[in-house]
Amino acid sequence: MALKNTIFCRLFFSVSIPVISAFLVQPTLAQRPDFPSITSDEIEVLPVQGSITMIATGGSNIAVMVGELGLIVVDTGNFEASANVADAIRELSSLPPRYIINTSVLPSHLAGNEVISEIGGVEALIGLNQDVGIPIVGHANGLSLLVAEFIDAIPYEVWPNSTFFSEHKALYLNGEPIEILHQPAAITQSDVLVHFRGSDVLVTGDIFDTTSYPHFYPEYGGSLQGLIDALNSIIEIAVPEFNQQGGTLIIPGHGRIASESDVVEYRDMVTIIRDRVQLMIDDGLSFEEVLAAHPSLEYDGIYGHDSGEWTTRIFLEAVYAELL
Amino acid sequence: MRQNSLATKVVVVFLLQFNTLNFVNNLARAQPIPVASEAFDISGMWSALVLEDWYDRLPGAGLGEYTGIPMNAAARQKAETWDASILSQPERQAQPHPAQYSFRGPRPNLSIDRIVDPVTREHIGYQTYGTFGNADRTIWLDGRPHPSERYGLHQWNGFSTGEWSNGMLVVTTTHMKYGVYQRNGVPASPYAVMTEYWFRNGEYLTMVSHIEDPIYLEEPLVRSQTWIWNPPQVVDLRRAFEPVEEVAMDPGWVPHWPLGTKHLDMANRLGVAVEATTGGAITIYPEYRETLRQMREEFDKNQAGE
Repeated sequence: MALKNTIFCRLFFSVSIPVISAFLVQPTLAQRPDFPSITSDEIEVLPVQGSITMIATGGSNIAVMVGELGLIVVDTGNFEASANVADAIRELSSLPPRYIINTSVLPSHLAGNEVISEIGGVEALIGLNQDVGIPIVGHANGLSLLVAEFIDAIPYEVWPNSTFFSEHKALYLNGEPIEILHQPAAITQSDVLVHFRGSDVLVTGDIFDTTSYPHFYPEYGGSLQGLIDALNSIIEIAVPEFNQQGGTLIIPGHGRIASESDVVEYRDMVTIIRDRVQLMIDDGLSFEEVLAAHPSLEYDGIYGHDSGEWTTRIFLEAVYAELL
Repeated sequence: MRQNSLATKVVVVFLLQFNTLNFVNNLARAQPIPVASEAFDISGMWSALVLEDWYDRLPGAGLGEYTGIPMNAAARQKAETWDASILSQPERQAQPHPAQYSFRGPRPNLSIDRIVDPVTREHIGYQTYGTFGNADRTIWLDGRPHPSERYGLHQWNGFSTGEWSNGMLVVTTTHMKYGVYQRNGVPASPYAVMTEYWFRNGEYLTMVSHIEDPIYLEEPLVRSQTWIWNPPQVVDLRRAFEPVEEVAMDPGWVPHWPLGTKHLDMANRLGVAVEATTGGAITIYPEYRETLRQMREEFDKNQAGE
């Protein structure tokens, strides 16, 4: 009996000790990542696919197309990071930008326009007069907004200088078509999506933001419904490769590189919150009553903020105001 | 949250008993037993052992069945308002199960291949096949870093790396998509981190998964799965999912139940109050049985009109 117990104990511990000790290896701690602030000069460079690289800044994400005929830069981020962004672009290619495209005229997207447009070599490449600068493409509604709202706040040098007023503009560079698609009333009245059709990368600006509830500006022509329409446009354009992932990759205004299914989650979230708030308004609830019902509870941990310019409360106030 | 929970310890004790018995059984059959070390291999054909957990893993938990899931209030709201019709959206029809769930059900029977560096012949990873919707997973063993925490692409399978530690293969998975922990809408956030502990005992392969989710879980979710070696098993290359048009639906259609919805199916079936089905960390501990018993008594009294 004693021998049997001894064998059992040896067997037990020979198996159990590795098992127990394995659990002493502490799992990696899960957490929602912090992102650099808009005054930070921090950047991070990530290859996306095809000819597209993403440079993340505290202002906005930047997309850079690199090819043998030069670069296209979509958005230029915050001013504080623009010197680092310029250095990163020089490391990607010795060629200069041929175009800058702004997805919005919000300062966080165009503050670096002047610094990036000054990356040298334009004259040598295409014979342009340096004083002319390179085209900064944006929707004409953005110019109206700049004149009306930002004329003192944003220097003229960073304004788009090559605007279009239709719903669609197309470019072709480095063997690749590039479509610029106006979204009329999303974050502001001036948002555009930029689709690199060869690389199959879609740059959305702040219409899609993996770090926050959508920050739309009714005072600048933005709206909740226009935002949902724009998100549906992104889903319509994107084509997943397999298992609802891969294929078209999406660079959001802020946060991580994504595929269509991530936008679907975001669109569903905004739509569900809209429907809930609308139902409560129809039932006669005040804003404070809506807030107390926690219509965004399951999404607050992912997209919500308790402080800063765009808190969960402010987002819900904007939703309520539009639907009232 | 940061400490292994009591639930983890309960699972470990259970597995120790299982492992010890299995060890003795194998010894009696005089079969060679791989010693738990860094040399063991998990490649091969493995059939899922689905026993007392068949209901949870094959048909899957029904609407409103959250008992045993340490979910928080945010997760509960997401699950209770989740409408299964959402899987009819064209852009969701080809979704596979995410890594947080794919080794849980239905079954799956696995084929696991070694990934070998074509030049050095060094063993650098494992590739798994057989999960629902071809949600094949890759586990890298060559020490490569995980993608950027802030900006890296998330996939249904996340990004998995493994290392041999204390006689086990410890796999860490990050960068999973917004998914589910069960097929009834219990959400899994993209910020979850899953740690899997793989170990072999003879012909048995066991994996204990430990998931921390700062958004939706009050405590780590710990589950175990075991497979048995089955060389003749065939895991075929299944056809990829493809969205199809079944009924006309408006673009942007997002079905969901209104706030306050309670799914009573499980409560009615088992004859318990709905509170007994709504999950939470408290429901994973043995002491909760007493709470359930009291709820049942109260339910019976109410039914009897007392």
